Amino acid sequence: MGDALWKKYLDQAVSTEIPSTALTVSSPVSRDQHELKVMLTYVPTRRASVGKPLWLQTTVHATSGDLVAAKQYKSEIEHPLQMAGGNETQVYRVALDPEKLKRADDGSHDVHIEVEALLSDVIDYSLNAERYPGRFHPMLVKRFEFTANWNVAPTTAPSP
Amino acid sequence: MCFVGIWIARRIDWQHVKPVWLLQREAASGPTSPAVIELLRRLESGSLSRQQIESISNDALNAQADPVKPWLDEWGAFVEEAH
Repeated sequence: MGDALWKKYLDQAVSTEIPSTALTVSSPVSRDQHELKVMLTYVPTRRASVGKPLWLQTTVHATSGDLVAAKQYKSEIEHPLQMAGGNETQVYRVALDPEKLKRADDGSHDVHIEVEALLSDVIDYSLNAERYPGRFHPMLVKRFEFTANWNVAPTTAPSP
Repeated sequence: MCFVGIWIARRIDWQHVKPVWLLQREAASGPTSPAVIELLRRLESGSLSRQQIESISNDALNAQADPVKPWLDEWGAFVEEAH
């Protein structure tokens, strides 16, 4: 089987695992929260159930958004790329800019999330790649972009 | 004579004698696992040509990309074995 077909097979398997509906946002957010909790839900993929173990490393970070802080951390997890085992959830907390949040209007705001998916036949890919430079190479690297709307909770008027 | 013919016909595993193109057609038309299992068996026994392997792998990839069709584990086994 040609290399192009094999790459397409892996690409489609990863795309099945990370569907366009993967992102959910915990909303509304109150003004003193300073964090937006987002969840990426990865679903079982379409590949052989008894094939060679493959590992999917997903790195999530917020790329932009109207109330998003300039400095963001990244969240990285690794899980097997398989058709059994149910959904896998990755939780990520987007840092919000406290000053912008204070001045923000109530209602809808947006956030853009990028997921970098790295497929490998080696478990603990990052650790191994760092420990043995040049020895391991990913089988596939693919980026997914998500956009979600979330709400700032309305400020309640002080009680008299 | 007729009974002998029926007896023989019942003992033949027709999947084993079907041409590859017919198995491909059956496999592509719906979730017919026996056809894909037979294609996988022929791959493992080395009785498929390179061209047939590429063609069946393409069918598997089309099935993989179609979210409406149920996924057959054997399609994945075929591609991963062929690689």
